[in-house]
Amino acid sequence: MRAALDTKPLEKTARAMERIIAHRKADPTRLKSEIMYFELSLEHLRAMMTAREEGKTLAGITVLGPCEICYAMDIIPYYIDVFSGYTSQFLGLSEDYFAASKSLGLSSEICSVHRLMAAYFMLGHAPLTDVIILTSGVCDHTAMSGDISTYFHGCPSFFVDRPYHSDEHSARYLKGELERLIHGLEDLTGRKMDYDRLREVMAFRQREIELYREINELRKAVPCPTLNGTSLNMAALGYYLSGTQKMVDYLEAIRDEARENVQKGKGAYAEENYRLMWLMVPPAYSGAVEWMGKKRGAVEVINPYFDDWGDKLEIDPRKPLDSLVTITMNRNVLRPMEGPLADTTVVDVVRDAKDYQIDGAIYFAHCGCRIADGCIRILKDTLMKETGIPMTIVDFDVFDTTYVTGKEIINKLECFFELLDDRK
Amino acid sequence: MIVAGIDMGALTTKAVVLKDGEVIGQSIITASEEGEVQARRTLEEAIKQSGITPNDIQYIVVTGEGRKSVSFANKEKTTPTAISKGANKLFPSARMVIDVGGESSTVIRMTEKGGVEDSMSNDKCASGTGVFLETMAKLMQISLEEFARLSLQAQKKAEISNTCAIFAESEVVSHVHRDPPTPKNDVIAGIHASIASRIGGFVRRLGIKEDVVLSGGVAKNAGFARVMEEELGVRILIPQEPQLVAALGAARIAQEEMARKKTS
Repeated sequence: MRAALDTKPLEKTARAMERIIAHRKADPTRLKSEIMYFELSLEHLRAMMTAREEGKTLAGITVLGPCEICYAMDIIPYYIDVFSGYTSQFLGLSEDYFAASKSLGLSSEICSVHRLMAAYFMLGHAPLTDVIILTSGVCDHTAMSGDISTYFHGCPSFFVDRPYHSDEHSARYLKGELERLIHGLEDLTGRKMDYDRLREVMAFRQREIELYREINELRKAVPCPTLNGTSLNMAALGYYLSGTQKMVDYLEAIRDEARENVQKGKGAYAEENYRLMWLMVPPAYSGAVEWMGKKRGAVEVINPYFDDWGDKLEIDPRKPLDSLVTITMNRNVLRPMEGPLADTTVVDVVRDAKDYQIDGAIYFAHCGCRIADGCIRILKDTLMKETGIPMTIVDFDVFDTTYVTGKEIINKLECFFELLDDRK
Repeated sequence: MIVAGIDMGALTTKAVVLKDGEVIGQSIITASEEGEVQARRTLEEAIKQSGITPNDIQYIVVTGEGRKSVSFANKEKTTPTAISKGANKLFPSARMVIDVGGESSTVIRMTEKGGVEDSMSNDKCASGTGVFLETMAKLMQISLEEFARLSLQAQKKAEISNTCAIFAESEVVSHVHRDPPTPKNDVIAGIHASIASRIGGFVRRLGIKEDVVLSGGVAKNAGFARVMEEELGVRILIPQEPQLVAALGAARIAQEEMARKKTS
């Protein structure tokens, strides 16, 4: 059943992005990468909106969907979680979206990201999408919101089943899943996969990994040269731009800004009072991300869930599918789901705490993400035991403000900063 | 050096005035007015007792949920920080504070200097707060003082849900109407046990660290304090004025700020 398409929200979202870009450009303190983030988002949104009239295939993908395959097949991928979030937030439609998803039986216990996603399609606010590519592995709720999205959009969908483990057998299985997806997309578009093109895409991907490593290395500097939210911004754009020159350009802009700051001995903020490890996704509301940096000198120096690509990961673009399997199976955000934690995320967190000289850690415990939240206690206790560094837990919902208000989030953070002050 | 601390709680506002580290005035007023007005009135009350004038106060620190509404304070601090400082002044051996206020409960593990080591708060759920006890006392048509006293005479504790205030209300009604009815004392002890069990969960998550102090308005309830001790299996220290611990802590922070100013 296809919901009646309403193009106005997408147009309004584009205009909101234009205003954000204009506002940032008018502010001399804004960095090039901050402007670029929304320029790239807007450019992509425009491409999504005109895909059908330009004869392009448009694919909606969920978290860790293989956008590289789409680019190699001349399909435009868009990350549904991010773009439904933009429309609901920028147009103040969250309440309407939550009400719509509630009418479908999605209760407030379901992750708000997925509730917004379902409503995006149900209300006809999503662009005309030809195919939806769903993935497992990170978000259990995808199965539910993905089916709803497909139902309301009346388009086919493919489910890429990512195994929970990273052994050889799982790698073979995942490669088979990617091949199955490629065959399905070939049937849908009537075009064959261009493997030379996929090799080019994976070469961009390789460059992205190198840039990630450079940026992460630069962020070890005191004061930290990058802004709060850098980790998530890189991840969010990467979810739909990875394998493109645009993504490489964006990462190079961040790297260059960071390098310049490090050379000048300058931090991204006027003061650096607390060097913080963030874990998971900070709230999309409350202004806490900027407030921490600008008002409290509390700077995110690393987010082990999103700052991927340790030294051990190597890919070979000449073997594009194997490389894609390696990448897909080595995303940090998946490591807590795999376990055992003592061999995965705990190792990352303790190592990063030392390498990045953090004063404290903040776990943003999005209430919809029960898989990740299950790791909190062991991470907190181990961090304290191994390094003596405290972790606070901010319980909240990433989009739904009825769970915890912005004021409560700030209060919790203030409390933590006072604790850190006492330790100095 | 004269300083003051104000605690803007959910149901009451408290103020403490310190002169050279000693309490010379204190007041507790039930919240009924807009934050700023309420804070001024409470402080004036404490000033009256201390025989000083408002101009004598050199530094004011405000804490509590409503602290943002007070514009005349020199500094604000979050509740756990203020409670820790207050508890540390009263009981230097304290390493943990359980604060049960009107609409929230907070458990704090603290350092020997009164700094916060870790804390957990419940401000989302009525069970585990003073308001829950008030509701139950009203339901049983007993004053809060009587409620506390009767609990101490209980033979055993009636089974009451420790997860939801709404369901607990139905359970209490069911105990009262049972044939024969569950003795009132046992029902009340059961209500206390349900709160203690909930808070006990927080305490264990942080790790019990003695000495443990019980503060906040609910600490005045001897019946609850006894059940809390049983729940944790440790002796609990209770200040003479448990409601004033956060305000006292805020005043102590004010004193430290002044001392810091003088040395810098």
